Amino acid sequence: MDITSWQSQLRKGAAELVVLSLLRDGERYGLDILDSAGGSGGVLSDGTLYPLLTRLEREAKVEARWAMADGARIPRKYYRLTAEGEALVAEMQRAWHEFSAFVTGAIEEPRDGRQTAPSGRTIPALAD
Amino acid sequence: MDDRLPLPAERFLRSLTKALWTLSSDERDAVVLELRGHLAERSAQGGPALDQALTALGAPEALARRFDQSGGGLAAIPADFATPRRPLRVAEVVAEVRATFRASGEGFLLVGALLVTSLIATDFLSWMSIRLPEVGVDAVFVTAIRILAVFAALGAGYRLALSPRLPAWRLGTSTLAFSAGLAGATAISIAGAILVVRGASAVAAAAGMTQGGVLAVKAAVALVTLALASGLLLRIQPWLAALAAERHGFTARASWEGTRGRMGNILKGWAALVLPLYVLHFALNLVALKLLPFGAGTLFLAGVDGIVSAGVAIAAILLNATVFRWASGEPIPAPRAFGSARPDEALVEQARARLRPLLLQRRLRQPVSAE
Repeated sequence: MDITSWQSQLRKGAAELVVLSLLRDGERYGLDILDSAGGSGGVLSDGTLYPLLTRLEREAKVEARWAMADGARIPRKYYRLTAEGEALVAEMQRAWHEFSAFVTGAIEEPRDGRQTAPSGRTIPALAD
Repeated sequence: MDDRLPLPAERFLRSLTKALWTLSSDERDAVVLELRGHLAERSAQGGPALDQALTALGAPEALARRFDQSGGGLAAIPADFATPRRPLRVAEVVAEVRATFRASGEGFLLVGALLVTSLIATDFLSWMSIRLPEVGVDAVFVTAIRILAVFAALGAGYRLALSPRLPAWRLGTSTLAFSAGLAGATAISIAGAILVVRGASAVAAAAGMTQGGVLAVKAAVALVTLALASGLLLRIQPWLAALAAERHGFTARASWEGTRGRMGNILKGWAALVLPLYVLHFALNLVALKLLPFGAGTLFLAGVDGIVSAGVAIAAILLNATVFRWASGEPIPAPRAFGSARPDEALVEQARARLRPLLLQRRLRQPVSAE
């Protein structure tokens, strides 16, 4: 079974959270964000980062400034969170923790044929 | 500033620039500059890192499609890195002119139609006045009509290119100011050139040069003066465009200063877009006046020359409007939407409101089918 499409959807949703979370530590430029994200499980790539940053800037979740680094020939574009972005990332992180805890609970190995979601609500085990 | 990257990266950025044509010029420059910096830093890490980065960025066209096209809100890039500041390749100048056309208001077809029809007619009549003087065509009258038509078309063209919200066709103070400015500047340039050439030939004659020598000096001085006068005219063209388009804050001085350091880009544009058509126009006139016997062939040549000359005028309008934007620091806006644009919500609602009663009547007329 091909899960590429499903993985792609997962990454799309997570990429914004990863970028905004990295910017919580202070301003960064594109390559710095990519390197800080490390492998990031394929969540961020060169081809997804810049369109995402452009969208976030248009939506005023981040703001940017151009600056020339020492010895550089081309200026870098540094991004930092706006107040709106700060509030958003806090909200997104809270929602993500809840969501991931729920999903993790839901996909744990069933012990008695049933799984228990963190909310206490039981859901039927997946059929083989 | 030499920020050129290895060839694959330059190719990628060139294709990306083309693919981002739907953005305004300042936003496109910002996206491309940021990616140029990204690729430059990867390139500094070594060849494989650059190759990996290019692979990760994917096809330029696919990457361009991922960018939010809504416009606005992006940080402006430092002025030294803006397109018109740096030397451009001819293809880049042509792309800027094309962007100006795509951002212009609708109506260039009418500008072209006026130019083609008036130029064909006046070409034929002015050639007739020279080749068949016995017919008695008044060359001055024909030239006056030609100038009026060209000025009207240029004025409308500049308004479409720079102020598309203004009515393109109107005889107001802006058209008169533009026409007076263009006519005055051209007359001063020609008068100045004639004076300089006469002065130079008088000096040459006084210096005891032979007649051939005087003629050679005259020709050389005429060429240099023509080039200088053309250069001066090119530098005030953005101001003339601003007069026609009612951009009142943009003065002749701003035009002069704004074109400083950009003449290389401007000349590339003229060489690529205007000069070839102008040379063809000159050749057609030569054939019509010196080589071809006057007749049906002349009418055909007038037709071709009318189209060629209209091309010269439209290319000049678009190039001067582009130079106005370079000189004023104003970005070239995102292209105007064509038929694919989302329809105006208010208009859609009006149409629905009119259709609703009609649909209701039709439904009422339909017989109720038996269950």
